[in-house]
This record gives sequence, C-alpha cells and structure tokens, in this order.
Amino acid sequence: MDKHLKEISNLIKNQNRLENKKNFKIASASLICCIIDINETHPKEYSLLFQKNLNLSAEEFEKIHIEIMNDALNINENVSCIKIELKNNMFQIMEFLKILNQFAILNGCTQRSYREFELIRDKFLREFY
Amino acid sequence: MRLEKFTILYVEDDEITRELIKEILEPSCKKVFVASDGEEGLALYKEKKPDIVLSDIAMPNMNGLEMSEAIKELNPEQPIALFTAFSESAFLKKAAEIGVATYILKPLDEEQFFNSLNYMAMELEMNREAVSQNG
Repeated sequence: MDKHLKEISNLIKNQNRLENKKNFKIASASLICCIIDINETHPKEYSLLFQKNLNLSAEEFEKIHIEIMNDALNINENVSCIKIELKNNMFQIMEFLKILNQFAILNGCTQRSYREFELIRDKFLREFY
Repeated sequence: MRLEKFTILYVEDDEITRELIKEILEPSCKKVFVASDGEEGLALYKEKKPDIVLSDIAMPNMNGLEMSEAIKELNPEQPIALFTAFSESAFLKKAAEIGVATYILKPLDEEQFFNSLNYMAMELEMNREAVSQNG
C-alpha cells in the first residue's frame, strides 16, 4: 500500500503540468478508497497512510470516507478531474491506471475491488477502446 | 478494435468453454492459439510467442498459475490474464506476486471481457512504443 501511494505521490510531484495538484490528489485518493473499500477496513490506519504518502489532511480523508459511506462519491467527477489534469493524455492515463490496478490486487484480490477497478478503468478508457 | 493486431494464447481444460471462447475471440484477433492445460500452453507459448496469454487457473498437469510463473520467467513483460471466480484467494495472492495484474471475471461478461483485452492491448502498444522510442 505504502509503495503504491508513493507512486501516486511521485506521479503528482513529477507532473509540472498539473494545474491543480490538490484536485488531482483528492480525486486520486477518492478512487483508491473506492477500490480498497475503506468501509470494510480500518479508516484510521488508512487516514495515516494517506497523510504520510499523499499529504492528504485528516479532514480531506474524512470527507472522502463519509462520501463513500453514504454512497455519495461521484466516480465520474473524479475520473473527469484526473483526465483533465492529465490533459487526456493516453500514456499518462495508462500510467495512472497501472498504479490503480495494483491497489485492486493488493493482498491478493477480491472480486469487489477488482470490479471497482474495472469500472473506473473503463470510464477512463472507453473512448480509446 | 485494437485486438486485431495481436495474437492470443488461450489455455483452458474444459473443451466446451475452450471452443466457445475461441469462437468469441477469433473474429477480433490476428490469431488465436488454444491449449488444454498449462503444460501444453507453455509449449505453445515457446513456439508461437503470442502477444497476450489468457488462462484458466485450475487445470490438470500444470495449472494456470504454474504456467504463468514459467512464462514470466521467460518474459517478465508478458501480459497474462487469468480467468477467475475469485474463489481461489491463495492462487490470486500468488498471481499478484508473479506479476499477473489482469483478471477475467467468471461468469464471463462479453463486453467486460473485451474491455479487459483492449486494456491489455493498449498496454502492449504503449510498451512497444516506449521501447521503439528508447531504442
């Protein structure tokens, strides 16, 4: 988990062209949280991990957590935000998806996590297929 | 469809499923090779060098995971997808360790199946483009 969060963090650091790094960071964290299913795991532990690796504040993480718990997280909005920040560049999107893919298969792989990853992946790529 | 440029090796021990998936794949791919277990699949892989490998997990002689491990030893970059109903958690943990990151969920949803294959094809195209730019 640490390793993959660092990859996202590095992706953000290396993106001089990102217009709004904060938006990108929050949208990335939201999609990761959908995949790893923080409802089922330990939010506090994840909150600390996201603070450490993505520099996400406890409040930002809590907002994502509440949205997920209330089934109110808008995946389309987060996907759009990342696509805009990555200038809809297919190479960059694929790099980002490779990292998301790793979250789906962390500690083995559950059907729910993998389906969530597929759903997000196809929202990013449908126009390229 | 991106797949038409790529060859696929499909490994499945159940004959009816094997023929069905082969029929689904053939119109969209450059060539489809089929094998009925991991041992045959590995031999065919060495002979044909397919672009993408698809395999079931539970099979006689050599299972899909053992075959994937042997293929990854030959070519660590080889894209491999495993068919799974997600009931084989120990296998899936091992699959992730050997670098298999794509899964085809059972029961098969044809649209999702092709989305996953197209995703693998895009990864392949990008990797090849990166290699040609660097080389």
